Amino acid sequence: MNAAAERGGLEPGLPLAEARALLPGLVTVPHAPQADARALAALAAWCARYTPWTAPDSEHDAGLSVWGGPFSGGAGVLLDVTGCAHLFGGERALLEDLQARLAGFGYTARAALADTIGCAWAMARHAATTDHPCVVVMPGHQRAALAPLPPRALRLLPKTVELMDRLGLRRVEDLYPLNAAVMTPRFGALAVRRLAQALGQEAEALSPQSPPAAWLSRQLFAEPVSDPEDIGRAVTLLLAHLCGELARAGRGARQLELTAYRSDGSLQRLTLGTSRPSRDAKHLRRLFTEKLPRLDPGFGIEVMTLGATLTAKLADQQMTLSHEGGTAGQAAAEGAKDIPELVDRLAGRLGNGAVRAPRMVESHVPERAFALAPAGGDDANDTRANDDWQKTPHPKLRPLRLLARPEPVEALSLLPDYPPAQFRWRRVLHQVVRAEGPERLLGEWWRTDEEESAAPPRDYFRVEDADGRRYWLYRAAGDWYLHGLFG
Amino acid sequence: MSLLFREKGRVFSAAAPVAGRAAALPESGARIPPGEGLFSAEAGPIDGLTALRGPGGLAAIREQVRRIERGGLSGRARPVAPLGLAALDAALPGGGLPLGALHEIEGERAEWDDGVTLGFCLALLSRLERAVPGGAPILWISRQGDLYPPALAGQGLAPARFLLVRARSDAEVLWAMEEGLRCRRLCAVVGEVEGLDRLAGRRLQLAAEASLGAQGDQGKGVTAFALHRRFRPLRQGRAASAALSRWRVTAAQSQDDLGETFIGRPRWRLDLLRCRGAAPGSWQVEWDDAACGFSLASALCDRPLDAQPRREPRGPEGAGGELVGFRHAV
Repeated sequence: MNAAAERGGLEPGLPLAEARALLPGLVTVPHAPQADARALAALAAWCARYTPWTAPDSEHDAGLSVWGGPFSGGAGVLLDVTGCAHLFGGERALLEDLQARLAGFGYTARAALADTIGCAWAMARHAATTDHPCVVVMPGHQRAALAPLPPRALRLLPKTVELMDRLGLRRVEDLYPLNAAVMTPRFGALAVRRLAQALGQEAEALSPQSPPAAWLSRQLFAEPVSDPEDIGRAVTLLLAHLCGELARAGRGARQLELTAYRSDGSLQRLTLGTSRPSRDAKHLRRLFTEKLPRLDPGFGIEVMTLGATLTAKLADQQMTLSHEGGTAGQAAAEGAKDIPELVDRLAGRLGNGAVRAPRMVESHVPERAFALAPAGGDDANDTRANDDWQKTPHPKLRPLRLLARPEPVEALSLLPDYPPAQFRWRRVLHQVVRAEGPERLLGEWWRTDEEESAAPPRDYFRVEDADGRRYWLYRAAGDWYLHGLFG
Repeated sequence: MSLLFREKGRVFSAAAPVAGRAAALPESGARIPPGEGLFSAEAGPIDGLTALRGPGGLAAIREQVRRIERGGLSGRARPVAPLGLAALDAALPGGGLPLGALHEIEGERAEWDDGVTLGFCLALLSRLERAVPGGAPILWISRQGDLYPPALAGQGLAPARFLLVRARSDAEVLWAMEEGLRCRRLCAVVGEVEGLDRLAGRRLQLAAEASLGAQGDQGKGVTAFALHRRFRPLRQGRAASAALSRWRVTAAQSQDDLGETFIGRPRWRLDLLRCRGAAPGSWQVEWDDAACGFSLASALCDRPLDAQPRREPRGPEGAGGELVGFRHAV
């Protein structure tokens, strides 16, 4: 319901036919709560340009359907701007900026800023008007600010509000003289808590929509930028700042998130991970080089933030004192850094998980005898992994290439338990000249899944065809499959 | 007499007018007819006669040629990994497989030979490990990802050394190879490619050479292997290659001392199709993974002639003896 409809005398809860009668030119749109929620979540994410602590109202009040009901006064977004207002020229300037931008997107928004969530919620919905859309409650003044408002401003259940109305409690200040012992039996514990929260007597925490990065640097642009070079420079600056902060804290980034707030109100996010914690601005900048072209600046980017969403402890490294004495050590240190950096560069372009190192798995089922773990474990792990591989059973009887899934072949063997005399794989007939086997492999009995226990035992043969190529074939329940190739 | 091919702009990068043609080099004192002489990097064409009479004479030209044969690497000898088989090592420039260079390995047919080419590549890698110990990581880039790590231990290579990279296209494989060649901590980079055109080959070869570092650097460089995997028949012949060497591996029937029906050590026919600074050749070898060495296969001596494989264009296996190094006469 927009302002024009309100002026026409419509109010929430009115039957559609009556509304149509009041305003013949009424345009109606079906209510789509999920789309609304999505839009609100997107708006909350956009508000992260002011502060990382943002949450859509609905999520905050899960279980208590406040917005959407007749008492809501519209959906809202909560922002915790503690310590952020000075970046935007003060609290009032921040609110006005926010309100003006939202108006630019086509939203009718009212904003209020107060010490408590409850007070700000009430002020935004019941004190701010279309003419004065921004209200700032001075610190400690919420009692006076709330006094003239109706009780429903306290985020109460509809039936509580009705009851208060019947009892003649029309303003919040009417509730002030009542103590909890009087209120609780009549209006419920929630009403008491809401009043206390709004007045700041009880703490209320805001759970942010997305957990904010512990390390964040932010770049505001005087006017929207869209030139890739400018964006690149901004990223360099952000990284330099962030890496400085990380160095002071003795930590390195494992995951970075670059968020670009575009002038049309949408967001672009780039995430990159590193195989080892790093705070080397140069290295991280190189990783972004691969990713930046994917950032679509649209009509321009107004704000960029770079957060280290995942960090790990990273000890200070000894820097070489002089160039002369330190070249060998420096070279070694550079070399030691090289592999993780290479892994990061490859993963940056080919996707996370594209670079992996094989790890041994103790299983006699060929497909499960190894696992691929993300590359970049530390050296201690590597030596242990090396020892593990020594225990691999019969490595020489295993093929160099294992087909992703065994391919059925038409095979002919002279006697039932004999190796095949010939087989046809991918439409080509191979005469078997030499063969070794069988090696019987059963499913793992300790696995309970249906497929595993039902799988017939496999009899593996190594065979060599007339040309000298070697294959790994197996027979399971009378059918032949080709599973691998030897060198 | 051996034949040298010079590539346009490659060997003499400083000299403008080098034509892509062949020049015959006399073994001893033969006259080079005027106008057919060599070109030097600094001074353009050298007249055959003046070069012979000038300071150093033939020795100077030989030195020049040796430099060409080393693959344009000025000043230092290219490090090599001896393959441990005299016949092979003698045929390769510098007495072994050159390090810090790109080598191509292809099979005879498409997917049937994937195991064979891989076997040869792993054999070369384990020889490389002999020459450059230290267990540096090996970057393995592939689109299929069907390398089976548990089998690597049987080839004398620790699977934990391998970094397996899964790429989505040939272009990504080549890109990752080039990135890998820039990282000097690696031992080798292996890329499984469908095709390698001249430009890509040249980029990789240059990157591999750059990994050797400057003069006086003791680094052994990063060696690149391009493992050809063709999934459709190649229509328009084979592209010219900028790699330092190109090998074709063909499987051959193995023999086992224990009896007819057992599978012996893998046996391959190796064709060195081209190698900068060496003549093409062909050998029949057996790979012993336990000893980590090649040996010449005693060539099919106890088999009747009619059972011999059909391919016989220039193979060495005609004669029944031990031998088998082979050079193209010019």
